[in-house]
Amino acid sequence: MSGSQRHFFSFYRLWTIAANTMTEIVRQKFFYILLLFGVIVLILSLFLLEFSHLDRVKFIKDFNLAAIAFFGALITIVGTAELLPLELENRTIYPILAKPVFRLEFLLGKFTGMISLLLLTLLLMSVIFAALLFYTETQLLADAMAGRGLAEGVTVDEAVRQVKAQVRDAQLFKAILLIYFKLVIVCAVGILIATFATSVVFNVICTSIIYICGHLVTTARAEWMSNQTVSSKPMLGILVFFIPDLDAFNIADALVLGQSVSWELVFQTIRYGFFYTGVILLVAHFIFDSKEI
Amino acid sequence: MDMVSSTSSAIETRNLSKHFRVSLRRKVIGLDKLNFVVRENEVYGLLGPNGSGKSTTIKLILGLYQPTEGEARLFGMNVESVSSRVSVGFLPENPYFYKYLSGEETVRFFGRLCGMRGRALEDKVSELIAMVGLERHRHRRLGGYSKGMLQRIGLAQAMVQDPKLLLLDEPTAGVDPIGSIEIRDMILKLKKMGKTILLCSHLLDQVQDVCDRIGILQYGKMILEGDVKELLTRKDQYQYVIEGLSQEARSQIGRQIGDKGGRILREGSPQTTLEQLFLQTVRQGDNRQEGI
Repeated sequence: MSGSQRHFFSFYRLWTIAANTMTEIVRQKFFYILLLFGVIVLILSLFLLEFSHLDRVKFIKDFNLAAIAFFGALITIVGTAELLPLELENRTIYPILAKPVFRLEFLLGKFTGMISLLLLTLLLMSVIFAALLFYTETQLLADAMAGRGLAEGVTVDEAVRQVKAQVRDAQLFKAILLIYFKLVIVCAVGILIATFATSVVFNVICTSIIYICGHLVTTARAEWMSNQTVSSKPMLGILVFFIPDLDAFNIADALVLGQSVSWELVFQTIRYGFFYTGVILLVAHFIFDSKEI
Repeated sequence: MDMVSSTSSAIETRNLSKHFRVSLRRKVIGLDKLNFVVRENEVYGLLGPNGSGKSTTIKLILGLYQPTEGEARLFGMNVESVSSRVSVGFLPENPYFYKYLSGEETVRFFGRLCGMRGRALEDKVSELIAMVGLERHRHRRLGGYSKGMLQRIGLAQAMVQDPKLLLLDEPTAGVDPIGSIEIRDMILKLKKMGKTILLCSHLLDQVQDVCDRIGILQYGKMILEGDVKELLTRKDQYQYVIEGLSQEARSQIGRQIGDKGGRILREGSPQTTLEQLFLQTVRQGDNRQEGI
């Protein structure tokens, strides 16, 4: 290789770092423990409560979507908080940046690795969720066919149709998709905090606070619009303008109540997620690029 | 201090300074207007006590630190450009690698970071693993490696893209004497292959053996620099090592030296080095064990 060779941003190097990041997280105990807990909680939903037939489906949907969002957030917050501080503490970053690697490639590689692993984790949890729904459907259909627990005036055919309509709900895919994009923003926030903070615990606390605040933005916005109190207005303003509205990604409640969410709204929310993620990563890049390692 | 043109220098620094702010009012000078040149295909030893600025110099050369003043160039390119590191291999002082990767995976990972892929990468990984003598341990995770093995895998990753320049920061730290000699021999082999090497080491004997030139840093300043042989030669003295002379003949020569105006400062049988004694003893032990 020649010393005068020009060097440009490379997706190959970015993916090399991303793949290594996935290996790094997968080979850590916390990941297995959280994933195992997540899977156990999903399966537990079958044994938790005895509801009437249709309520049972609603409960499983509600419970499983909440569990996917919760364990996904836990894995994202803890996993992301460790990414940069451990590289700096163990000094594994030195030989990497001593190679012809752009800091942006390194940063985006870490981010891509985390969100790719998150995608696989959510896929795994979704498959288990689908299996639980399928199992519930089989039971409910068997009951309906046998005429057990039918409401007054409802025929077997209608009961079967109702069960299928409730269980085979394509809207669930939208809910999980939006949970994923919400976690992508949380991951970007975690990376941004890690560029200037060196403690894993501090990163976990800060990202968790922003995660919680992100779910309060809708309420804060309404309050900010109506509130005329000078003292609280700036604080609410910061919350409204600088914290991403994570509640916008939560459509699970609407779906469980049987309301429909349009693809247009889903894509609009994803675009909002892309915008926030891009801005956050840009700020993270500027901080990390000038950081002395 | 001699400065050569950028085209023939592998490393060149001009007034390279680094100040560290320790509080609002106080700053510490890590490196103070450092000027030095490492020419292509030479082995340059950067020496100095702890805190003298050796690691700061390496970090500045690798672009990990931003200079407070001055600049550093690698093969004529400013180190702020990532392209300047295309032909550079770096072995850090302590083996800072991922413990969950095997030796082979580590070299492959760094090869990919240099843009290598496919058969060329796999061949290079095998070649380097063999060169550093870790074939039997190539599938073992680094968490189970000894420090000497980690240094060797570090050397392999540093050389993965066949760089023209190698920065070796304490390559023999924590390595046993035999491993240390093997690394020294490897450095000499690399020099024969046409590589340029910047070596930071506390083992002065080793530096003396392999380096063409040295620079000594203290308090962030270069306080001595030059050709190793020239710096170590006492030009006002001369030495003979003689074999097969009787006591009487030695006395005669001594008298003649006195007659000619010279003065014998030291006489006696020369000593072997501890390194040679150690190697000889260990190798004899190995031979006995193998029944040779």
